[in-house]
Amino acid sequence: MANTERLTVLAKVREAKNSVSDLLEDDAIQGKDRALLEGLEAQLDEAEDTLILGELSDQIDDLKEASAALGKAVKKMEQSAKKIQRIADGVADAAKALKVLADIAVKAAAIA
Amino acid sequence: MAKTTRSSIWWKSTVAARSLLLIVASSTALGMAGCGGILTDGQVAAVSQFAEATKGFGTSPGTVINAYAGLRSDRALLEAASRSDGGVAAKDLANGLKQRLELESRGAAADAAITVLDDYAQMLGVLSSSQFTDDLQNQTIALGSSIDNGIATFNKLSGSTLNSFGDIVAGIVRGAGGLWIRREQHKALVAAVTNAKGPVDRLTASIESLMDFFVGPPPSTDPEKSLFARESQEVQDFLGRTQPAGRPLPVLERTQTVMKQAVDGQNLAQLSRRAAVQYRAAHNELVQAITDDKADLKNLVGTIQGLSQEIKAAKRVQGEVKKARD
Repeated sequence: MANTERLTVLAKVREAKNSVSDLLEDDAIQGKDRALLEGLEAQLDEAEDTLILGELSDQIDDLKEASAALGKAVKKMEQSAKKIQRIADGVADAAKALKVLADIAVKAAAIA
Repeated sequence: MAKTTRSSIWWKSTVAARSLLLIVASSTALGMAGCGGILTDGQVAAVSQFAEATKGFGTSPGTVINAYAGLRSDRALLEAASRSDGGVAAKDLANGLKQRLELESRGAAADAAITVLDDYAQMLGVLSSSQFTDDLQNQTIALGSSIDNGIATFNKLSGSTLNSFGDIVAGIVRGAGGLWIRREQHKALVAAVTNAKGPVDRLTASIESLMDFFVGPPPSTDPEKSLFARESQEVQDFLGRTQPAGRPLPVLERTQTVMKQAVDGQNLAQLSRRAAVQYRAAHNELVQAITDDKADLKNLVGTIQGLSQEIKAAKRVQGEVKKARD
């Protein structure tokens, strides 16, 4: 789930970036002042990146936790599939045993 | 005399075989009594449809993150082109590259986490598969033929006219064995979808939340709440600045490409979110259909078809996003 405090800070950083961007569209701001604003914008970019990565990491941690829980359910399903296969093999073996019994009866009849 | 002896041996053998069959059939029937139903054809079809519809669902969130990573990197390029200070331009490029790599690693982590949904779909397909009973079908046909051939041989050798019963034996083994297997499949599927319900609900909610982070929670259309819309707006704003190199065509082209990719990324995120919601709804109906034999399967089929369409739409946009990025 989203971290609301982080998102509030992110919104403020974006507001600040919008203000700086508006100022940078003013051709009258040149030289050192402009370089200062550009540097400030780059720092705000960095702050924004950090906040986005932090939020994304938390969200992916949630995904991983839910994924691990489903992974356990999938493991149980694999065990169930193996069990069903064993049952199917057991029934098939019983059928084979009956076939052998029929074969023995025929052989016995042929000998007698 | 020989005829009588052969008949007697055969009779004893067949009585033994029939008794064994009776025991097997009775044990199976007793074992099944009061232990829930068997998997119906409708349930098998619903599980297969669900498993088929959700194949490949798990790759969209990673593509959304990677699409954003590409935009962030391109924005850094265009931002650097707008700088009067070379040092800041270099910092822009470094920041953009660093963020792109960080985002891509999270995209890979998201993909890895969601792959489990494909594993889940695959196992649903295995547990509802007719393969277990198909194999038994082949085994019992062979058994029935073998008994029939044996009786034919016996009749030929002894001059007897015993009626063949291979089909009856095969039918009993196939019937009782098949019921047993289908009951086990039903039990396994009930346990599987019940165990998976919580994690699936949580996983799809996490995907929704992740997509909300990229495009803003619905019904918001505020561009400030969408990472994609914001990237697009920022690169457009750079054009409002006095650019050291003017506005050469490559800069404008790149800006336009970013704007297009932002729209595609936003669409993909919205489709992925819708697909996650639909996935959860379809899965909940599937749980109901598997755990309650009287559940209406028609609604489920409709919901699964809706899910399939959402996932297909997301895959189409995903293909476009990847193509544009490559």
